[in-house]
Amino acid sequence: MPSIKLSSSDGEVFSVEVEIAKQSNTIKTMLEDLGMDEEDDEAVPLPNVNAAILKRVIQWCTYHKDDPPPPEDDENKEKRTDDISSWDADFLKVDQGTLFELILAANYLDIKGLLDVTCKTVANMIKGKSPEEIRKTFNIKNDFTQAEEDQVRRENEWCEEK
Amino acid sequence: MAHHDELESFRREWKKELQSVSTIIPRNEPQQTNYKSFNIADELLQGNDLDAPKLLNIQKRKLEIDNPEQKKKKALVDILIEDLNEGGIPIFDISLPKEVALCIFSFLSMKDLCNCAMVSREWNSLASDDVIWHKVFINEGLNENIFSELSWKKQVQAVFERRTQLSNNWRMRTAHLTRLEHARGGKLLCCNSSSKYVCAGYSNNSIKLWNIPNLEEVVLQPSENSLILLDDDGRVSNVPMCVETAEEYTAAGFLRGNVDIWKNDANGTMAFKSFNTNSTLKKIKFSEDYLACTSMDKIYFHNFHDNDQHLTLEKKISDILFYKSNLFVLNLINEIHLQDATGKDKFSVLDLPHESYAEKFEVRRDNRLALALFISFSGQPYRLILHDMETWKEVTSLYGHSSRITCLHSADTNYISSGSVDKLVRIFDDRCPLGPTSVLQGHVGEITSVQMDDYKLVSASVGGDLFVWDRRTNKKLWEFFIRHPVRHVRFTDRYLVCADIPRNSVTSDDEIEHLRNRGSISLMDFESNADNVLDICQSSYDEPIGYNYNIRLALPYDNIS
Repeated sequence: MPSIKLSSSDGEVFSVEVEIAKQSNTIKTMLEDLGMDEEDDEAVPLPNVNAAILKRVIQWCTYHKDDPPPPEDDENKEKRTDDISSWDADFLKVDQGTLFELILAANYLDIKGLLDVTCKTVANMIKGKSPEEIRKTFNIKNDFTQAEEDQVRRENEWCEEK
Repeated sequence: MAHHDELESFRREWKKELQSVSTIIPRNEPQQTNYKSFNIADELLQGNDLDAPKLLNIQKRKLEIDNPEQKKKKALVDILIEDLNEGGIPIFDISLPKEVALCIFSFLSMKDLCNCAMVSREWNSLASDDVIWHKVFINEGLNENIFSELSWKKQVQAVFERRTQLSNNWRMRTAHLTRLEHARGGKLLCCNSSSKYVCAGYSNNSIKLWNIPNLEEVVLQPSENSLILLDDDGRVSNVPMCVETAEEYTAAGFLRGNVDIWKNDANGTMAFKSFNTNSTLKKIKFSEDYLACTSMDKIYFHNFHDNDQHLTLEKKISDILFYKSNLFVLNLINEIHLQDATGKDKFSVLDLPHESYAEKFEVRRDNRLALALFISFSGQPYRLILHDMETWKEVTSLYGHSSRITCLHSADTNYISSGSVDKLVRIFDDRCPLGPTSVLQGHVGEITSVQMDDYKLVSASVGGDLFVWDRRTNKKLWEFFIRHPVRHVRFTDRYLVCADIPRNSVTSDDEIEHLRNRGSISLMDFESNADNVLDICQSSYDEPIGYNYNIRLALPYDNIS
């Protein structure tokens, strides 16, 4: 099985099967467009991903290597957040910092499946929470002035009845 | 000072976090910088200012804004990088590119989005983004584009507020009532309406069309053929028997078998097509390209782009229906025919039980055909049957009627409502075939029309009474009485059209009827916020209008100074 080398931002080099690495559209395009030789010893630099996160991303890609390609985004389809597989749920039992790093890495590497499942996880953390609870969860400062806050509340209270 | 405090607290938080996690690296770090990201973090933690603090968090942004001096110091390349990274929004502990934040928000419901908008300024701008709310608009199945000048979030809000307002108005009967009249038309003989138009046929042989939103009215002129009929004895009368209106066309079928078709948007009022079927017409239906009209035992097709075609069935026809491009014909006895729109193929799709008479049918959105049936040799002769239109297998039979079913209607959900001769309206749940889930009583005559949506049911009877019921409590919300049997009722989210048509409709030409014997069409507009005040009562006390004798009836004079 041919493999390529990926180099993280902090210089650690991982050897990954090409088929697994190709789940990342970024790497796939890089391989196709730049015609990188698969036997090339030179590692592909991934300056936006550090070793700890890259290791997790590779772990995710390895587990999901046989998945069918994700369906095209259907604009008109209601998005569900309760269809996270149990393996993914376990995989994403990490602290918030790691979770957001994973999202950034998935976005940078363009791995749709991973991006979807991590975004869903964050969405689930937001769901059903009051603004104050959301602030606590994500450690966000309320930077509204009192007047602004009243106005924003007025603008958004129509949803309450729904 | 304020942000010094903030900065301090931020540093404390960060130190705390660093103790638990040691791997967070701020994103959007320019690669060229001399500092490693950890060095930057360390520097910041020590409280040192940096030349280009590009850790994207709220405090940093503020610093930049507050200290333009600092901004000037930045190298051009840093500014360029900042421009490239413009999407970065500090919404969580670390900055997420806007498209990723939008991806997260796209999984949220309306209510969650509104909660997010109340979190902070950044979140507010992000959670109110047009892209997300456009998706909400589409996912909620909204199609009102009446507020198109607003942002998508405001549009969704406006639509929901309008719906709430409308349903309250329906509940309270807060509506503006308009009588659609045609004084020179004589008696009302038939009436029909679509979402945009109301059309009516009168005993002096004129057809009138109202455009619902602005109530523009047009008198449609029947063709020469329909007006002048001569037989061996001389002139004979001809009157419209049925009318039908659709998006583009309006058609009328006459006693002597003539059919006239008008274009709704045409400036002229002359019929653009006309033909004769030589048999008294009962019903007209439109599809996109076809018109079908039926007499007792014949069906005529008319293709708008082509020639006439016609089909004759030897059995009696009780109802016709266009479904997609096919026409369904319901025979009175034992059969349902599927007629290909070209008129060439016809075949029976459904054999009904022996000695059964089908009266009405309707196609539901879930592709099931609801059918009102009478089976003569049966303990429970009257029933509703649901058929799957793919397989033509019976899905459910719904029992519980004690007499003939005169009308049925099903909402999009599992419910079917029916009206029958025994003055009762029944609502069935097709998952529960044992009997009706509710029986609504109060009408004084045979039910002529039922229509329902998720919240209400509107029913009317030959006694001239129209009731609006609450679906949840099965209680009557309000009632509306007209003189003659109510023959046509149709509501949309905003309008209710109902027409009462006198019994002995066909009269001789020269008889002049009193207004109250002519029948009427009422249009209620539930979007008006006026509190049910008649037009005449809203007149200003201008001299000429003030003398209008009608005012005296409605308003006490002591209010006029």
